[in-house]
Amino acid sequence: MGITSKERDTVLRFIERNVRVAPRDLDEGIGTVYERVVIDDYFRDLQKRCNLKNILENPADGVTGVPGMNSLEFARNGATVTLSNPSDKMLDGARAVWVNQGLVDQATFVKCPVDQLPFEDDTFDMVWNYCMFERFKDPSTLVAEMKRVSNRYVLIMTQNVYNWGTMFHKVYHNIGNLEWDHGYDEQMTFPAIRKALRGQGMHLLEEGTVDIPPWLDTWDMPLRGVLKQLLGSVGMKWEWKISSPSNGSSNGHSHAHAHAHAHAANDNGNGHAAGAGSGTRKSSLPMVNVVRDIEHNLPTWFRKYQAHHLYILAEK
Amino acid sequence: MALVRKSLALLAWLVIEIPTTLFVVFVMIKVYLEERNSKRRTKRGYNVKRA
Repeated sequence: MGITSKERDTVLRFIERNVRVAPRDLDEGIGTVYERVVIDDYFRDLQKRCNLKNILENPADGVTGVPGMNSLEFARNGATVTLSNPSDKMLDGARAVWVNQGLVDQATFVKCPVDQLPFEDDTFDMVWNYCMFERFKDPSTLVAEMKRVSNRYVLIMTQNVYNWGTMFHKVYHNIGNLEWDHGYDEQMTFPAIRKALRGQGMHLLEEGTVDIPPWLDTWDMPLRGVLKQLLGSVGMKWEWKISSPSNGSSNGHSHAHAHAHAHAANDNGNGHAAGAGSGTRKSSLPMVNVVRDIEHNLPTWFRKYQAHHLYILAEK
Repeated sequence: MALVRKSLALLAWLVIEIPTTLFVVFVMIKVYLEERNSKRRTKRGYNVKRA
């Protein structure tokens, strides 16, 4: 069966809608910033352990935030990164972000269908994607293509259907008469990811849960504007940036003004049930550190049901 | 010791999660009402123009 034309269209619409509403000032909101901090923790650890130097994100996306941000951490730590995607708009947006971050020399942007990659076999050390796997009822052609162009690792990271934010987000789509463009519930589970990877003859190396802050997973709901408005009405400022030259600065005395800086959050925690690893470097944001400490100590059974994301790393 | 640590983490998580969830639900309702009102205003403006 493979990927249907309807699924391709839905993915394209989803990606281009997010590019349209992405915050150009990199103010992505607390949920996305925290998510980036803990996922970047995992990526740093993974990149070091697996000696990843050449990475493909396919299809690349920013989902809730800025397009093309997901793989930046690999580049910050020396890797070359290729972002492939069927949308010109997404790739243009991603290029602007990478230029802004001063890392565009380490990046390549390629327009192509998600399951027809214009790369030779075994080109990349790792091929991965974020919240894209679940958009396909039968992701076998996508995973097969990821495996083909990888010389060793494939990483799949998805939404977690068991998280109770899923229910609220479904209600939000229903009452707003919005198209459900987040994919198939049954694909946002460990068994589905395992099945897809094993179906391509891959060996599962590790699986885990990540991004378990003590607040509801709002998916891609546009709450940031409302929070800014609410806090603005009492003279406070709501601003969250993963990377900012004015990191940690706050001119307003009564501002709840906060910046999380990617480089300031270099925890070596592996982002899953094993908890924080060695070499933890604190974030400039005390709240991020507290929430991350809580996350790393949560029981495994609980993580599975409250994590915003699931992931599995597999080997050829 | 690990059990105590995990229990405390779980307790802290729940203590923060419950009020933040209530707040997010409130904001969700506010977003929904604003979107609905915005659609109504747009529709009304369109009708006025036509009239």
